[in-house]
Amino acid sequence: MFTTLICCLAALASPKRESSWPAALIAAKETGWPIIALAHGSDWCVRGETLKRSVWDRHMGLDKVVLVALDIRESPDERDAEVLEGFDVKQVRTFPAFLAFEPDGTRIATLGGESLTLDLESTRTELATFSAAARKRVLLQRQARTAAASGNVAAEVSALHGVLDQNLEVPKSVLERLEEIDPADAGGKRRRASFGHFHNLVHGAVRETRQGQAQDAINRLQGMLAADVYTPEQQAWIHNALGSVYRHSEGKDELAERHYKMAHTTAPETVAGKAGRRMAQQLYGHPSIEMGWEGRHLTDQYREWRIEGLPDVLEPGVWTVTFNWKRGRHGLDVAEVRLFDGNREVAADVHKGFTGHNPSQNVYTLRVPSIVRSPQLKVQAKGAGGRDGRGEIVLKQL
Amino acid sequence: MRMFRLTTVVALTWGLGPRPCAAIPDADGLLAWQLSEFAGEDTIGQLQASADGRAFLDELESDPEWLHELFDSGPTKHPEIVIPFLFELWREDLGLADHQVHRSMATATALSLGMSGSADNSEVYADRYRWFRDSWNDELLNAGYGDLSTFERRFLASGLQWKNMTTIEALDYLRDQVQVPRSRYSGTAWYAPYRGQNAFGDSVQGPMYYMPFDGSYDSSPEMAMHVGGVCGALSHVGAASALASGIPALTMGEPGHCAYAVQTKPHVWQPCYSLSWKRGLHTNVVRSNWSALVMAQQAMDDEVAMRRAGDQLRRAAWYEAEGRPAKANAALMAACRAQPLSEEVWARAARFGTRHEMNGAWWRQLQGTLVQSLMPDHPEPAWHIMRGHLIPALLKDRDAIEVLNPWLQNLKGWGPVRWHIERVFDWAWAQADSSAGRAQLLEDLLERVIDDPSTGPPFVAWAQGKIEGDPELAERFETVLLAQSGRKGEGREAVLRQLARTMLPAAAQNRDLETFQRIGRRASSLFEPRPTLEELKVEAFPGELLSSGGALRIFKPGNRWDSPEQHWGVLEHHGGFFHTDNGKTPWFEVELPGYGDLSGIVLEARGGHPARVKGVRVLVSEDGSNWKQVGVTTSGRVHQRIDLTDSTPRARFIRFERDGQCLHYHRILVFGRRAS
Repeated sequence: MFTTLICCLAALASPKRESSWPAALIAAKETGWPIIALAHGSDWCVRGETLKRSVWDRHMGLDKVVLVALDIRESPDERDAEVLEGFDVKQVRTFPAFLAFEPDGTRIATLGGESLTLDLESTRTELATFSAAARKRVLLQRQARTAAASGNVAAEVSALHGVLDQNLEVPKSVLERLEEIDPADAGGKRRRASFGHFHNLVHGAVRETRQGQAQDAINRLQGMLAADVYTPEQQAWIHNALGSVYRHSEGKDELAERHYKMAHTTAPETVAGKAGRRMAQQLYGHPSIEMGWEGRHLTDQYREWRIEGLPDVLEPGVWTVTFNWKRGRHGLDVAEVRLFDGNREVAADVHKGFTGHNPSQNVYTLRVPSIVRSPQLKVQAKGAGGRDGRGEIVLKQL
Repeated sequence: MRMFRLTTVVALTWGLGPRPCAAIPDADGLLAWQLSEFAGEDTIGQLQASADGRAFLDELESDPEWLHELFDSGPTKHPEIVIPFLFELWREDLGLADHQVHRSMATATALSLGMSGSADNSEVYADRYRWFRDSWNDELLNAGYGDLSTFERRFLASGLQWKNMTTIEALDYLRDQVQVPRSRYSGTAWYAPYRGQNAFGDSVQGPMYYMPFDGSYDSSPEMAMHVGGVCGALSHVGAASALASGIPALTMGEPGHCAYAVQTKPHVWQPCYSLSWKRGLHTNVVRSNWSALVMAQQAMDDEVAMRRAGDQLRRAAWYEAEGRPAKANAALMAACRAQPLSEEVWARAARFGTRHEMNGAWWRQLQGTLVQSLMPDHPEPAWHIMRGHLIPALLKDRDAIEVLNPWLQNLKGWGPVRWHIERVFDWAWAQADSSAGRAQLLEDLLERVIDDPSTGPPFVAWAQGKIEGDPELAERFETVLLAQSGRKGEGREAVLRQLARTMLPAAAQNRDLETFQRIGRRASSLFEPRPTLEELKVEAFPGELLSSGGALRIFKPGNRWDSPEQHWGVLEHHGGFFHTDNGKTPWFEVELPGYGDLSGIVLEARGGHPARVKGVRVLVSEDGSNWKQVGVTTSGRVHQRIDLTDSTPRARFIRFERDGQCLHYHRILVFGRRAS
């Protein structure tokens, strides 16, 4: 009897394996357990079949979840339609994938693609973690509903914050509910989670500026920064948005450049930070190794360029500086290229060169006798007949 | 390399010739002979200079399967690139010949490199081959990759027009992030958001669009999927994602647009994100148009026929080299019969005919066989072969219409897709050297094509362009047109009305938007524009009028209540009219000129029948096959609005249907934002 009791308890705790999506939903509603689905394709997805055979079909050590394997085939039949009834196959963006759902069918998260390793042992571990996170989500949602029913706002906020802390998919309803019951959002969790894709923030600000509402955009973005709740990368995007508002406003180039640079300072290694730096350099910087030159650098008379973006140190040897025109009606005339180590000139190549449709003598050679620890490159250049042109500057050691 | 074959090659090269009536080698022997012919002395000499090279040649030469893959999977060019490259891949993996999938992919890669004309990118191609080899070994590709023919693998090997979309990093990323059942690759372009401006407000047309993000992502597809793009980026993401799973795909240029195509089923190509039949394939093995691709695929699907044809072509080449043209001719004719769907077979036969100055009867027989074999299923390739290879000889003793007649008589429809049949008409027009000749040509062509609902409308649209500015010609043609259409008298308006009544529904049915627009716009002069929405106090929806430029199809057009000549106006602010027939589920369908994210639809019904305008279901589709209901009319009012601003579904086709009776409207205006 004791053995029977143990077996019954074990069965209650073990995962329930179902053979169709409708059955999985029923089982999940009955038990209150999350659903873990394996999306695979038995007639086309070889990797998925290996995953299913080696991980899914074996004892995975999971409990209190409803498991269902969804075979999404290239040549489906009637049986497939029954198995998949009510399941939106388009939500599976890559195969194979594990998907977690709340008992009501709301998706919690997806484990697939980059987030699914090729090593089967690691996959078992990941799946266990994934499954635990799904169970926790269900628990948190239950706690939130209970707190809401009893009017305990603090408990409900805590539970919903727990949902945000999981860093999984967040239903819109959670964010809307938090805004309703905790508009102050003291710690900023809801605001960070609501940040959304950077395109919407930055392009939205640009659109407002073009519609004559720049100040509204500035006020809103400054307010976001002042709240001091966003992650460094999010702050960098806010700076990029501000930079873009100023960029598209008359006479505000300095502010634009400042904000793009602040995006980089705030989160230098992120997409936002790198984008800010490149925007600042491209729009407002001097000619550089990274970006080349733009029409705004061109003048009718020879002028000195200080080339930015050099390596920190130049080794002794022979270096070439090549100017390659890329676009525009006007090429570039170059008279000389000089290399300095601090204030001391160490190498020079003085000759008239041109780059455009038919470049001529556009390669400058610098013989560097010893290591240069503070390199500066100065060039005498002008637009060849106008200021509509851009190109690249290539620095190479032979 | 067996010495007697090399001796034969050398002897032939120096014009010594073997003894006449030498026994022809068997099929396998001819494959080996073709290898020596193709590779040439220099390449063979270089290979024979090393033990590895000799071992490679021996293995290749003695493997008929491998040689068929090399020679019977499409055109071959630049042997001095193909053979050494294949040798290098073989040397890397000495078991290559025994692994069919890898051997086929290696051969396909070598052939693709040869078609590119330059060995400069051999490392890129070699890396790509290794990537497919390793991905297959690691079970990371679609199972269908294992069943591809060498011809199909050539598309994988070639990469895409934008090279940065099929680097190793790009393929790694897409294989991992976008692996779906093959039918779904028709939609993977949308994994990249359609954005004409980047986040910073810079246009996709300028150099600033991706500049801020260069270096932040590991590959171009990843960047496109995060930053966005327009048709070029989206189509390349779609095509590259299929390639990265081992499914053949390519991108295509269309007027003002970049589309792509994928084998969404084994050996079946489907255009994706496509707006027009006017396509130029960026990757091709035979020719760069859709008709050629479809026929080439069909040819390659019959491996037995391709090999038989290849064997006969080799026989023909051998006989010709032996100085036995009659035998060569017989072998060429046998090749044409064995696999008529291979353009190369006809081209080789025609070049033989030119070299040996065959007589008119020979050319007419060749044309007859060509037309009988290829039409009506493949009219465009038949025309292409005639135009490029047969017509110069045929014109020596025939006039243009006589030369064209066999083709015209067998013309029934487009084949797989609408194509530039106007070029046939233009060619014939250029042959007519007098006004009387041109008039007669128009009548002759009209007689032959007018009854074909596919080719009739574009012919009439083409002819209208030719008669403009020549009143005499116009009058004569329109008289004949009226007579052919069954109406007499009443002048130009009558011609136009009659034209539009028959041509507009046909053009719409054939998804020929250009002809629908051309004829419809002209026919709009026959009826007055309707009051504007502003005058009617009906609010439009945000965005552009997406239905403008599209086409309208209805249930049983041209029934006694319908006015097909007004169909064009229905989709424009101009307004028009249509009336379906009665039926169990009457319907009408709007085809947009491009993809759109819909914000709403304004419907203006014909008044007096409120019951017929209530309960009309509204469905949308991206491909015209898979539909999703997005709305239903809830009242019997003449003016109704279907608000889609919340859901903004993406669509190219919108269908309206109801249960019972019929449907009749003056205007169906679809609003939204373009997504292509």
